[in-house]
Amino acid sequence: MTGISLYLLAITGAVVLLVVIDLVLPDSQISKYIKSISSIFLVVVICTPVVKLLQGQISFQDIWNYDDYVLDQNYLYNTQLKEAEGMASNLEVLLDNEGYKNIDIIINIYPNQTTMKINTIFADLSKLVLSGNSEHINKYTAIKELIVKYTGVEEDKIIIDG
Amino acid sequence: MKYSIYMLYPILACLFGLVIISFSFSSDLQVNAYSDEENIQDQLDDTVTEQLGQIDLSGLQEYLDRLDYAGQTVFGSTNIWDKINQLLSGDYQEGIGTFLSTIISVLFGDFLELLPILCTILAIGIICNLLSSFSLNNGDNSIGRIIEFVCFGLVIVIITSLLYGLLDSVGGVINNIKGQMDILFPIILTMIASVGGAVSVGIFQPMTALLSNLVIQLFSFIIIPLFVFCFVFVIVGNLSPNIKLDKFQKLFNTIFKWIIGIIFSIFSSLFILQGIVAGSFDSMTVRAAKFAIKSYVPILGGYLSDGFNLVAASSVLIKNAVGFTGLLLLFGTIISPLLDIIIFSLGLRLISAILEPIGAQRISNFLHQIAKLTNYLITILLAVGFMYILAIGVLMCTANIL
Repeated sequence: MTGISLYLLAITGAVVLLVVIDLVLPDSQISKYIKSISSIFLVVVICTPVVKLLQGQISFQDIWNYDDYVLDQNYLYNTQLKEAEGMASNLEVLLDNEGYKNIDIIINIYPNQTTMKINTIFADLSKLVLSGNSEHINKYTAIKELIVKYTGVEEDKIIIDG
Repeated sequence: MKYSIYMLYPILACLFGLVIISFSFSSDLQVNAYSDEENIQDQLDDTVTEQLGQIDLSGLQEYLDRLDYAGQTVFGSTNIWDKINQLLSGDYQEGIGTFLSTIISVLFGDFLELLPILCTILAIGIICNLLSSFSLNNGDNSIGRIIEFVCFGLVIVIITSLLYGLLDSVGGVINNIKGQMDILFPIILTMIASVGGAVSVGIFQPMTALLSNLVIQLFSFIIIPLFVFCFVFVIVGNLSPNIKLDKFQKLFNTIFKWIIGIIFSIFSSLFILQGIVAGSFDSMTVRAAKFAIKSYVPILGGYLSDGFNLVAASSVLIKNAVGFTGLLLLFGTIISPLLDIIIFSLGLRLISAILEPIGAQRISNFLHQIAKLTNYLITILLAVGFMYILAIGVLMCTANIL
């Protein structure tokens, strides 16, 4: 039996006992003293948890122990992959508009993150076609600068091949 | 020569007008605009279906299967996925008429089930009064008191068994609600995170855990036992007119009301205020990111940025559909026990009202006090339910930004 059940049983038992005594006791001068003492006994039974609380025998520690909810990392990762694909497509269009055509961009992200965090950006220049006035500049530096400007990642995370 | 050039102007104007009119009535342009919209709608539907397939709602389906007829009628379906698809496709219709007729039939059904027990209590009260009067007429008061004590004991046994059933069902509802929270909150928080609501998730993760663990445990381990204490003190305080425990009873009643009021006020205000703050932070972050995409990628930037928005849009749609489904499931879970308690309370008040003029004063007072006490069970159910509704509502309103 739990502590609460025992406590309630004790109160109920004490009250039933008092009721029986009240019923059985004949009317006499001593009956009022017996009733007073039995009432004090009842109050002591009712107040026993307060004594236990002050002595630290009742603990509420278990109520405070709980863990936060865990997010569905698979779902988040799949969504972030789509976001990365969209970002890669946007980058390709941006570079295309700047005169660097046919660049393939692949963005790798960290798994198990709440928001998308870029691991590396891989730019494949094997099919690169330069247009306009882009032929006489350092294309690797220019492409890296554009990628950094758009994505905000550090330069060392950008890998250029070709 | 001069006149011939000026004569060309009206002719050119007419030609220009004809071209404009032909373009505006061109069905090709309308078809193109319509087909773009249809294309995006199809893409959104496909994305929603794909993302919905990644979510596991079998736990909620189990809770739905455990509901009785009234609960499933309130929910409006026997399948969680059907309900979510209805909401996503906009086919959801509120069946108010069916809902009301179900409620009324459940009320009458509960009352008819309770009627034999109420008649038994009424009969005990009448017999107790008759026998006590008979013993008084014989000039021996102690036998009358013993008869009253025995009859009162019978009524206590009946009421205790009924109340135990109600308390068990309330405890079961609270556990069910906790189970539903444990399934629903991670899904909705994941949706918020997938839209970019990182700040909101950081704030709501501990708050939702606080609700489903600490608050529910406070209700299970403190509030419900307090109710039991109140009930026991009502019983023992009415066992004998010489044993007076009214003030102890009122003490526990007061502690009960204060604890519920404090928990409810603190939790509700914290949740609402933090929800407002979190929402504004994430709103600025997402809008800044959208602007960055559109400003860096000219001309086509708007269209391409909206390509990712399909994923975000589907996450928002799923989040709100799942949240609303959770609310419907909550209503279905709470409705039956709530109606049972209401009928029980009204039934006891009716019997108490009938017994009072007959003369069974002690039993009448006892029944009236128990009827008032059952309001606390209603308070427990409504408090837990309302906090859950508040949490779901705030989460549904968060990160609805595209």
